[in-house]
Amino acid sequence: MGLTSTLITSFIVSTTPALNADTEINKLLITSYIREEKRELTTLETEYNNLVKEVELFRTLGDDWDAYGAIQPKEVSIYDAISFLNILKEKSIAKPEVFPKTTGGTSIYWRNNNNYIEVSFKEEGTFSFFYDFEYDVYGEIDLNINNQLPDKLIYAINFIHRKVSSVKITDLIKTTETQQFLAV
Amino acid sequence: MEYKELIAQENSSVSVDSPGIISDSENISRILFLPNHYKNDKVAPNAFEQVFQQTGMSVLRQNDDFSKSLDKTINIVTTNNSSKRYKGHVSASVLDIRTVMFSTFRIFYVLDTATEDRKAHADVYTTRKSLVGFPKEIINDLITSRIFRVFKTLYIEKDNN
Repeated sequence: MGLTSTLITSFIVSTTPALNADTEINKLLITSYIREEKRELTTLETEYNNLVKEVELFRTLGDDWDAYGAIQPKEVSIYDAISFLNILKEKSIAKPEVFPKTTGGTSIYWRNNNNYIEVSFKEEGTFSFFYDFEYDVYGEIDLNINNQLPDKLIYAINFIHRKVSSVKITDLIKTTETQQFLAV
Repeated sequence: MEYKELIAQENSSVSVDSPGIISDSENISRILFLPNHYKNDKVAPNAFEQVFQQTGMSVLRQNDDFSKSLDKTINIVTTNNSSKRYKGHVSASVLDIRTVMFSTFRIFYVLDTATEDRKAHADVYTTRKSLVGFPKEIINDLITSRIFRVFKTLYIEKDNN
């Protein structure tokens, strides 16, 4: 559903050129101005906004929220997850799902068949991620939320949404140390 | 306990209330409770996070005792916590669980931890606490991801939102 942002109104009023009803040019200018400044939230933005609301609800969970002994989600993990979702939204990255972890963290994930990516927030300002694909697994920890998103995370998300070919991501993985993760 | 000893436990019953050891041909179900095990028409990964805990992940065997054990489970959970509502269950083949591998090692084993009033009760445990070369912070999530894969068959109560 496309939502029209009504917040724009005040901006338009304060910056619209002085009205001169006698000139058609001014009318056209005003119309054009309004069209430019009227901004509709995209479906993706709306979905991300809903995700943020969903994460905010994790604050209402207490200990044992899952009936299996889960720990209450830490405020810092909720805060960081919301910050991260806003980064993903700005970059128009495909929408994930969110969930509270039973260990007190907050996570987001993407899943497609047997391919799974999870980004977790637990300690202040940092996150970890891993992907578990049919042919490989990979993970990184202690990443700074304010730094650039890791290339491998972006590739993995794009792969799971079929925006890059398997050949491309497989080549990427082969150039890394990730194969060792399968060694036991 | 060593890996081989963990796996070997499956060959004999671990509970006097058990109807018998769990065979590969059986199916087992993880019971889902709202509000957090099921969202946006999807099972959430946290429904399986108990699998890396020492107590194991509680499941019910799809046998003659299933319905009675399910009722008892729902009763225990919702009595202890009024915010919980039963939503349904998601099932997996025991064979699928027993054949999830890392390298040459099985990751999971399944034991018949029946109780007097829940004879269908069982637990899924992990054999792995570490994987060479993999950051320890992520191992539990990876293990959860693997069990998440094999629980495929979903039964949902339509009217219980």
